[in-house]
Amino acid sequence: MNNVFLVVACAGVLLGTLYPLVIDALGAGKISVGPPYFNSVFIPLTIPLAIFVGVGALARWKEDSAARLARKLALTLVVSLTAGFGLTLLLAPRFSWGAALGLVLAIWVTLTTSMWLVDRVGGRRGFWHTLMTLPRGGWGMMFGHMGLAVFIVGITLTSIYSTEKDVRLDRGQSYSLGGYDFLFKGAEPVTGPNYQAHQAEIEVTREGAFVALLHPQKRNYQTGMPMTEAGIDAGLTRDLFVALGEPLGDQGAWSLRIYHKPFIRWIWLGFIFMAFGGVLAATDKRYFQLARKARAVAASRAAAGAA
Amino acid sequence: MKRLGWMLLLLFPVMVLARIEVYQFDDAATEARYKQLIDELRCLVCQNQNLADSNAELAQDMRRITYEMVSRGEPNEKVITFMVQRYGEFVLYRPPFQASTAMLWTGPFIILAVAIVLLLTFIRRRAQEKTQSLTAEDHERARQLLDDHKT
Amino acid sequence: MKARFLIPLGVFLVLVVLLGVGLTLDPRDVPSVLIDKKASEFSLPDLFDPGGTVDSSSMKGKVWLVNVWGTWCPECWREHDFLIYLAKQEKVPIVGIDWRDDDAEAKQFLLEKGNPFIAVGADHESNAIMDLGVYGAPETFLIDKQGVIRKKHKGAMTLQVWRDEFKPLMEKLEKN
Repeated sequence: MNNVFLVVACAGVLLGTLYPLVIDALGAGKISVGPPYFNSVFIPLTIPLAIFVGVGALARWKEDSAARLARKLALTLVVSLTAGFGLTLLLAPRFSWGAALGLVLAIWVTLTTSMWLVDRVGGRRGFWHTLMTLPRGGWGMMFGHMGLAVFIVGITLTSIYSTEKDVRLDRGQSYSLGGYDFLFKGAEPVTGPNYQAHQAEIEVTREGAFVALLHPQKRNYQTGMPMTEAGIDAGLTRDLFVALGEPLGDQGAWSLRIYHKPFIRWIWLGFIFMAFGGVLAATDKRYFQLARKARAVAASRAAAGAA
Repeated sequence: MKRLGWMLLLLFPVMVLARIEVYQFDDAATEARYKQLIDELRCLVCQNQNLADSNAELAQDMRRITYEMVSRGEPNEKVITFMVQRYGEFVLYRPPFQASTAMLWTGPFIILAVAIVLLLTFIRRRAQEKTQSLTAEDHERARQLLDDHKT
Repeated sequence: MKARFLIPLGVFLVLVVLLGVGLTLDPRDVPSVLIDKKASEFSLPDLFDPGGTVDSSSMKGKVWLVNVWGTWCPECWREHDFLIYLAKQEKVPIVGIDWRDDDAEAKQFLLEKGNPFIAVGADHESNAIMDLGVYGAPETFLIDKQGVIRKKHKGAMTLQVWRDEFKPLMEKLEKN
């Protein structure tokens, strides 16, 4: 079932990409297909995907009766809903159904995968022993599922809670965004190997404590095109980003763009986990062994048949 | 020098950040509408960017018009109609739902339905095959595979 | 069994044909949606007469061209001599819209290179050009006696385009 969702998601991307080309070739006009379309296809597919990922993880333990499975699922569901909504209500700057849903799904996937692992421990072996003897495919599944959960958290939180602002700041003026204070200390001309630039110094603090010193630049290369180099403070729970705009007036004021993007690194982390999990699962020795055995048995059968 | 700059601006796709215009909004809702509109409108000069990212002069002017209309209280549909009247549907990153795009919007869900039907058919067929008893050959194969795996 | 292979193959072939057609098209081209629609009236500051305006309404009853240009646009330089030919030899009325340009440089350009326009309006804020659906320069529009846009050409105006596309249509519209 998971494969169905993944394949349909891919088909959706293919459809959205080829559609404008087809319409144009048929002479039926020129349309554009962009993020709003892809989001409207991907998100409704990712939700059932995450749900089924969890169900799949729990259903692997074949000794369970249907009733026990249903109970496990219901319990996990209740915990996921409580934790997801709870976290959103308590910790988020403002409540959002989308954020709550995203967290519920991520927690659901995490819990079901953990329960799968705990189930494997059983009574005979200890926890560590189970981990040590976990086949590669098992690790692959865990990383894959964790990656999906991390990815969902990243995308949900950054889409909903990112803030950005274009401001005019005078030298010494400060602006608050996302709980951080950005103090503009002014911009000075600097010279690089093949460009002239203005470099600004931004001191970032949070409730008085120092966080980072950012140096965004606005460069004019010799070919004449202005390029901006943003000042970025990367972090596991958020990225802070400042870009220099234009000088305003002649008192040293500049226009600046400030971004606060929470959990954006989790999108990449999620990807890395999923990819790693995929590699682990694909290189599990058992698949090759089984294929080899099947071929050998088939060969011996053919030989016996011929003889 | 300025001429060269303009010529190059036309020839090359431009950088990621749009010119930073400091627009003042009456309230957060208006600002959010503005941001959503410039996200979903396509730049005609730098056609791989939306209005929010593009640094092209035309994009600046389109942003300005969007800002003016939104600040005047015009609903989003009015802004979209304004742009589409002049540039056609190419300027929208969210394709409108109409006869020519019906396949586009319903396509993925049709594919999903077909895929689920195929999946269910496949599962049902497999279940039927399972109930058939194994042949002697299959028994032998199964025994060999299991034996070898035990060692 | 056969259908399993025929369906993907069929889809693939159809795609190949469509994408092949696509290769012959210009992906950057945005076809005008204003053909056969009434052109928006514009009233722009006159480039040569501060305080005066260039109004499209003054061209009612005539078949005329609008040419969008700027001194920053290399193709505009290339078509300039041909525009002069059109204005002087073919006696075509051309109204110029100087888009997002420096007024002094524009006037200097016309002084040095010749002025094919019966009037030039300065559009600093892209208002008039947006109403015409312009997204690059140069662009030339053919407008009829009722003020309806009949044709649009993107890029430099050339003898071939004029002879094959504009001139016959212009003559037809003149007769109406």
